[in-house]
Amino acid sequence: MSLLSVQNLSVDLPLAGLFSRRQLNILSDISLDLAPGETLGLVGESGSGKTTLARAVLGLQKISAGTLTMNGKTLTSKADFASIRRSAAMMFQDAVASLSPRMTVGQLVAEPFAIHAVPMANGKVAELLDQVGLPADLARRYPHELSGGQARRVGVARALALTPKLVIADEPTAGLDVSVQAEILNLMRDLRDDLNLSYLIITHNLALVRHVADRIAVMYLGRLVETGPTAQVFAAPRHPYTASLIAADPKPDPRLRRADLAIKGEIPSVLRRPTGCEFHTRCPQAQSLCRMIAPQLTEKAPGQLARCHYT
Amino acid sequence: MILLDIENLSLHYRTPAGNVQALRQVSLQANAGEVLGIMGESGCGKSTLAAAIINLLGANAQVTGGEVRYRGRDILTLPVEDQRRLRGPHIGMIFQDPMTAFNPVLTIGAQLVDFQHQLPDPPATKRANALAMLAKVGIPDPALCLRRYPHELSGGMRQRAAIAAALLLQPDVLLADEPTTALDVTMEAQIIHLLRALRQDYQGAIVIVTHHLGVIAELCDRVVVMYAGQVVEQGLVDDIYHAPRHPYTAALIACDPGAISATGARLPTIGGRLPDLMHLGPGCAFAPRCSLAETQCHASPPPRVQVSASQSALCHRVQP
Repeated sequence: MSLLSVQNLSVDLPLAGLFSRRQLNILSDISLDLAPGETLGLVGESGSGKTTLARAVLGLQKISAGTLTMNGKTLTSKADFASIRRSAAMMFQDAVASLSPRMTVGQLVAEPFAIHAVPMANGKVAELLDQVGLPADLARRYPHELSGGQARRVGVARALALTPKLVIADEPTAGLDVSVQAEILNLMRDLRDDLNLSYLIITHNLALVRHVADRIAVMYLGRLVETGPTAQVFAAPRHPYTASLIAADPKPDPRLRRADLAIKGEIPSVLRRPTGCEFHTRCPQAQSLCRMIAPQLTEKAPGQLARCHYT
Repeated sequence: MILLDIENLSLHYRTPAGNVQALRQVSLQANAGEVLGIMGESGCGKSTLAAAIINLLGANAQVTGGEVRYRGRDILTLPVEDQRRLRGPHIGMIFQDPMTAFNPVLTIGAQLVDFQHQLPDPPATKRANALAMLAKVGIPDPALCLRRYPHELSGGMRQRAAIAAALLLQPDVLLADEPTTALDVTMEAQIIHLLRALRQDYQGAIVIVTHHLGVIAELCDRVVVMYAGQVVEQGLVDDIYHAPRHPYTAALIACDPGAISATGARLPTIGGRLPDLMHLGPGCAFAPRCSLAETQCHASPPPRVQVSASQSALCHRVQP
């Protein structure tokens, strides 16, 4: 049974303006499943709706349609979402900015217990810090005294405080050095194995996804355009957007330089969605059919779905 | 021809707690027509080095030795007015965050005209120059872009405009500090592609400072690797990635997940932490984290070993 199930989820936001009734479609018809212990990598450019999806899962963003099911229980009321925030934790993108500068590391790690009125055992802070590889005496320090890697580890400790089943990590290694990034990814892997955690990792770093995710979901303009097992998708992407993203990622090897440009143009605005297949404005393989008719998400290979007329 | 020649540059930052040795005996050259990469992690001194090249160091920075020569003249000892005249027409800079590189209350056009204040041309010519340069860096509607404010452009377009601004005065040395770090993968690929296209008809030297190993591999001819304020290795890009001689370079390249195609394995790490630049020991700064370190590595400073005509490493354990 899946731990988290998202069915046909849509999010619309009202467009600014006093008399405007126009709704802006941010996420549309998203369906995803996450099994216990599984890691799903959610990738796409800025503006593709990755972070909005994470916020919707945690009940921080009102959904317009669709259902969210956690552990077999459908989430509807505010109380349901309050309880999901105990079993699903978030690691925020900007590790330093997500820590209050006026609280010590000890207070920050203990804060989830206070928020959810959960009694905290003595020595729990030290135990959590130890779990993420930080010395116990760091509890008396303030966030500005931490390095980027340490701040990230404090974020992991806060996420783990209430022993969640699901951790949503928004760009878990953004802004970190290569060697520190490897340490954080290894830590996340060890914690997954020890605690049977599921991860939803939101990132535009494809090397990271290829390394840690069991499955990958690619988003474009608020829609899923491809999902499938990571190794399979990287070996044979079935959506031209996925193929372009993989090709665009600079490889740390001068012998693998690309002569041509993998992807042209920019992601269009959600205010002016292209007709037909929304990727046709940038797609190297677009034909007239693509400009007129929107393709559906269909199974292209076992477990691999893509939204494309031609692959 | 050597355009930029840095020799034994040492610099520290004065802080209440003591002096931080940000750069120690840094030497490097940038030649006309080449793209030089300066690679290193946070705190290695690469941004300080970039600031020293245009002499935009903070007030608490103190140069304790060495020279930064541009076409044979030491920039650091020039009068302030002469230094200012160098920036722009001789040394151009592309900053990491294209949002803060521009003034938010002036249009892109007004700023691109302003940047040419050293030229005697009439405003209409300057505007035409700006328009041509925006077209050259691949901005789809350059005339519209001139009328836009910085916040109206996307991140990728802003970085293109910033590159256009740096190129307007045709500098001999183009310095780019983390030019793609603030961008998406797709925009990053496009900026790399643009920089590569621009160098085709560019006679000067391009210096790229970044921690992103992929960007260096895509763009650079030669690489300087920095650690704890020192140049620990330099060489041709292929040698640095495929035959690194310094243990730090090898470890850094090995732990990049982009270099490992297998899914699921643990990533190699370097272990330990950066040395305290206020209290450096007598030996090699990397020795406490180095798997090859021996007694002498902790006791005495490592020699610079020339391993080939183009490659050298600062290490006791490297054989020439």
